Amino acid sequence: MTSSRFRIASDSVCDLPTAIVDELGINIIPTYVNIGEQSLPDDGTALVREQFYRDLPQMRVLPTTAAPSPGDAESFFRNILRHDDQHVVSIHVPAKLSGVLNTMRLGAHAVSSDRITLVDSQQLTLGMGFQVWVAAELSAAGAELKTILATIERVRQHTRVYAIIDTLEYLKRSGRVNALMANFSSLLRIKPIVEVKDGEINAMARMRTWARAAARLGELTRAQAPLDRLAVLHINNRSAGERLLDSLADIAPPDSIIVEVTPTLGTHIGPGSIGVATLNANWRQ
Amino acid sequence: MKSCETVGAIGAIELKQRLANAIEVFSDHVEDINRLNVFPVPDGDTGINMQHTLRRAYREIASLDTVSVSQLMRDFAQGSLMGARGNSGTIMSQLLKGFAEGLGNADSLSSALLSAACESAVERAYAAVTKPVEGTILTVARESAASISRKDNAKLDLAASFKIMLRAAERSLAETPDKLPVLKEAGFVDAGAMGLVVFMRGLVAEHSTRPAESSGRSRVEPAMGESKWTPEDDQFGYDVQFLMRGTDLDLSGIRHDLERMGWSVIVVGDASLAKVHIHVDNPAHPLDYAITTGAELDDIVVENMSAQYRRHSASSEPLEPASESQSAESEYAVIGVAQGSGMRAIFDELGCTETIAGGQGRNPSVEDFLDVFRQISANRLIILPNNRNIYLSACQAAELYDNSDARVLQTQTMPQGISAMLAFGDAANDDIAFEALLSEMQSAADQVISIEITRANRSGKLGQVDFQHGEIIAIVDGEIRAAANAVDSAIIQGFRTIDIGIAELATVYYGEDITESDATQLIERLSNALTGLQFELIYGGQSVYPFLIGVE
Repeated sequence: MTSSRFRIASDSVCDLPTAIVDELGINIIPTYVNIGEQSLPDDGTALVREQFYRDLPQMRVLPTTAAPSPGDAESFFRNILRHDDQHVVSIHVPAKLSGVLNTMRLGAHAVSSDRITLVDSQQLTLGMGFQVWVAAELSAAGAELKTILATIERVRQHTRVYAIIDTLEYLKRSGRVNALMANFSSLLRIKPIVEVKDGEINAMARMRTWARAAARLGELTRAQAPLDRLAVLHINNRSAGERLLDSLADIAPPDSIIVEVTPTLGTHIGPGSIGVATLNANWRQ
Repeated sequence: MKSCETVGAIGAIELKQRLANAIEVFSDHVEDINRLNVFPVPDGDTGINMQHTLRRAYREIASLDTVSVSQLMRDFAQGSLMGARGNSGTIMSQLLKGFAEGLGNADSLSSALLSAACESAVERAYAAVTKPVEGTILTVARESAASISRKDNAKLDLAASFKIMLRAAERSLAETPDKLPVLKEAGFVDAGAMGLVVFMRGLVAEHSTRPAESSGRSRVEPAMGESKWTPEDDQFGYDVQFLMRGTDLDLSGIRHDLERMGWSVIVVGDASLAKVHIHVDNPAHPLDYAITTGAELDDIVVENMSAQYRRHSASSEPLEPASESQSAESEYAVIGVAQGSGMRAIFDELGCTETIAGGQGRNPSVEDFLDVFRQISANRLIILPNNRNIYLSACQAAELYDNSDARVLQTQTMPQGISAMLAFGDAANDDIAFEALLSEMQSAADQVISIEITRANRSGKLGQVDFQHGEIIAIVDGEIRAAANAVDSAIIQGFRTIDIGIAELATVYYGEDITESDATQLIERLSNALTGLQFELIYGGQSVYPFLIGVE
């Protein structure tokens, strides 16, 4: 893998499982979660997602999230570009939602701008992960930069990401989703269904019960069939994720995955939520 | 129309006099009709609704002098269409419209014409109702019209035809409980049907004065004091509301005394706290009276209805300044009817362009709807009546409105309307077809089971449920399902009659007379009794129903 000319990189918000990251030689830079005095990288060791989400409801002060530092970005790129002929395609969390892309740009300038192509994925979690995954497959197959970038765009167009937010409490506590909140009634308990699209999180439905929200999420997923890839997303709610995946058995590709999403996102969305990322099979045409 | 001339035909001047008399007679019986409420809930408003409809109709002809009976009735019907309030008021307006149509261009009213016009009236009214129910105003209209439909009636004197018709109407009214089981259970005749008969009595009376109190009464009590209103009078008076606090309030005594001072009297509450609502010419009278009972007054609200009316009718001056969201023409606008400050706030917050204050005892008229429609610039209007008795007048307003496509959803309670609003907010952002949007909103509303909690204002039996005066009753989707001494048990018994296996969430809206801490404690007890169900408590501020619950 490492012999291919184009290296694929991303940040930990892409939520790709370690097995895929390792197999395809993808480079992931962790984002950070700040809990009190501690700043923990979302790298699977310093911060264990399961534990973090179990503790989250008891945390009196909501954790904050942070992009890697420009220094982190610089050493991240330096590390990848050890060989003179190599080039990095680095795919990241949307600039509209996070400062990651900006620090990656600073890091890239410090290393070698013309050997690093930065991509705003316009997506979150596996919505971004699918772009990274397919780009890494293409790179391993020896594709050219132009092809890789055009394919990333096509994958993006065929990707949908939907989620049920179990409780609005965490969105309320977090400052950065005020625009999303504006669409909801503060008077009623609502389980919104949101869509990630064009680098934004938008509310698309306001459900009052979990059963109806889950049914709607299933319908939305089915509307995306035939599927090339499917990821069921959850935050401390694996059982609901499994039920959803079971209900989609007839359209789910064999390599469908269940993923607990990054704390960078989950801190703001809160435990209990589930979602899906879909990649429609027509992206190949 | 000389060809139709028969003995005893009457002209427009006499008919106008008879209409004035009929409205006066009707006004004497408003409270009697209000009381004919099959539900033991102090929100009967059929009388006041029909009265409003008829008064508005008369305003249209008040200044007419020398016209034909057909012109007179066309204008009268047009006025009633605008003033129609509540289901019976709306059906009344359709009867009048059909009657006017049946007159063609006639100058005077003969027996033959009366028969044709009544037939046309019945046809029009039945057509206006999706599912006509027998044992109601419709039946009385149909059977009384049929009584003069035979050919030989055409030879009769008009006065004789009137008498035959009225006799048939009285008989039909007395038989309404046999046709509509819910009336039989309640032991009442139908309120709307009663309204039509009272109107006909006034219309048919030989002398254009009030008929003797004893004549032709149905089984209701004599009317309250003199009506202050006369058809020539263009006054609407004052709407007065206040709370009385005391230790030994005699609600029925207070009600009795107030009814001498004005109309639309509502007195609800208990010995320590009563909510009073009355329409009067002089707002000082009920306030003075209330003070002299020794009670302490609170929350006094006096509204000048005449001034309100003038604001309404001045088309150049909108009811309220147009809000920013209305200034730009938008594709869709929703108009919701809601009662209670909390409820109105929810509808506003969920994106209603306009929330009309109304509900039990205060049904907006067709004209009220039209006034609101005219202030809204949107290509399409969606109306949420949120009350069984507001649906028809909303439909009529929608039909009369030409400037945009106005459609009425069948939301029967406010919790249903709230669900429809949630679906609206979601779908309206997409490029969704209007029909699809309406059906999404309707289906969201249909998924909610509504439980209304109130206090029975009489004893009786409806369906399987026996209830005593003063007991708490639970009305589930329009049907009394439980009666109990305490709110808790009424609610819990109500829940037991629905399939809560599929339900997840119960949203409890508490009313204006309930404190937040009482409501919170109730929710805690309900959560313990009804495990597996989540409860959410919201201030609705509604009257009459201390608790409204949406289950989904």
